[in-house]
Amino acid sequence: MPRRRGYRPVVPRVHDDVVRRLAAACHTGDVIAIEAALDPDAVAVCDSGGRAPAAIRPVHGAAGVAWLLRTLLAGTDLTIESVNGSTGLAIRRAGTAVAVIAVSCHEDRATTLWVVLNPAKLRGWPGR
Amino acid sequence: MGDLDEAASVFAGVRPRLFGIAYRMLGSVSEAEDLVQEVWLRWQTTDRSVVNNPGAFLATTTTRLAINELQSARARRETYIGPWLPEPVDTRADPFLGAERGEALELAVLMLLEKLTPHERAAYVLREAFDYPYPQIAAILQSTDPAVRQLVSRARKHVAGERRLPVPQTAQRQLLAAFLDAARGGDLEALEKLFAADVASVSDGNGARQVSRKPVVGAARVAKYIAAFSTWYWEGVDLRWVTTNGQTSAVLRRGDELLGMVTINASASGIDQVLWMMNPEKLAAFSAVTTEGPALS
Repeated sequence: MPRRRGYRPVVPRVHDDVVRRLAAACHTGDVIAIEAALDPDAVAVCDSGGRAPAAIRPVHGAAGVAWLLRTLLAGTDLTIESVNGSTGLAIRRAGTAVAVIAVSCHEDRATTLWVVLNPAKLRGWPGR
Repeated sequence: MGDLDEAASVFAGVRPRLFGIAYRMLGSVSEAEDLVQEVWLRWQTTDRSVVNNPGAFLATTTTRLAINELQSARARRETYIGPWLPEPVDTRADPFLGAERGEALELAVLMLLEKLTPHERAAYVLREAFDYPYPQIAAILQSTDPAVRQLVSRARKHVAGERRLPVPQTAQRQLLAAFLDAARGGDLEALEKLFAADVASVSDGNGARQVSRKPVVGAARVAKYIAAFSTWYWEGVDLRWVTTNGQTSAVLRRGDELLGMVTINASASGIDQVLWMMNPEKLAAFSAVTTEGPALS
């Protein structure tokens, strides 16, 4: 085992739990439950490349981020997936990925959602 | 033909690693694939009989091409609409990245790597993700061992420092202080590092003297704009902290004259907005706090 360099903010298990809690809250569609999984100062950064409807500026605050998630989730399927080596989320409409979300955490809350909506960046994402 | 078969099998053996380097450098699967393809074409036409260590040779070619490609990719991204994020990879399904070490792969880390110079990024990726020894990284980057150690250490500090961002309000205040330091010193490089790629500087002067009427957008442009007035603007300016809308702002005063107020909005990718309130009518409320607020060093 090589010595561990660099900084690990959250152990993967905790990260995994946070994302699972967030996904469960999203499945209920309950904004309060979604907000509870988010840091009060959570931020969502959306990359649509101008090719999908999205917030052009980062969305700040748990309430705003929860609202954004609810909007994205309408009429879609949310699944837990492995995004760039850590637990993240994918949203599919009719089997095609329309959003992939990487999650940064601090302690037991999600602090940043990196939301990739640009269809050009989701072409490689497996359908279902 | 046998020779080319061997070239192909050597290449196939290191391809996952080459892709891993290219993806971490560029944050784009399609750009990384194109780059690895380019390396394959070059490998076919290389005089392979003089190459002692094909793995090292191919990693070197990949890294050097990626450094060039990153420069042009960054130029293209300046006109990208809205925030730019890396192309995500499904690490459970991906036959290459899934099997490799997971270091320097997280989306948040790739975003932090966007703030590094291409050489810093290459040194960091080779060391952290692939555990290359320093002398080999030095050879790849055509540099020296101590210089490469310094690149890696700077990059590590940047990644660790950013990831330890305290609660956003504290971070916002720290970023504002760092911003003011860099702005007063006219430090272009420091300013650019603080900014998100799509940072905007917005001034509300209501037509007042020497106040930009249009927002300035883009890390390089905002840094240049702010550095340009650093030589004369800050002379004799006294700065004080105030809290406005739950955020820290700095009130700018020269002697008894209230000049304006500046604050920043920041996200994980850096400072997104610099807001200059130079409109005298909107500043009246702050004339009192300027003498009470804590002074900045």
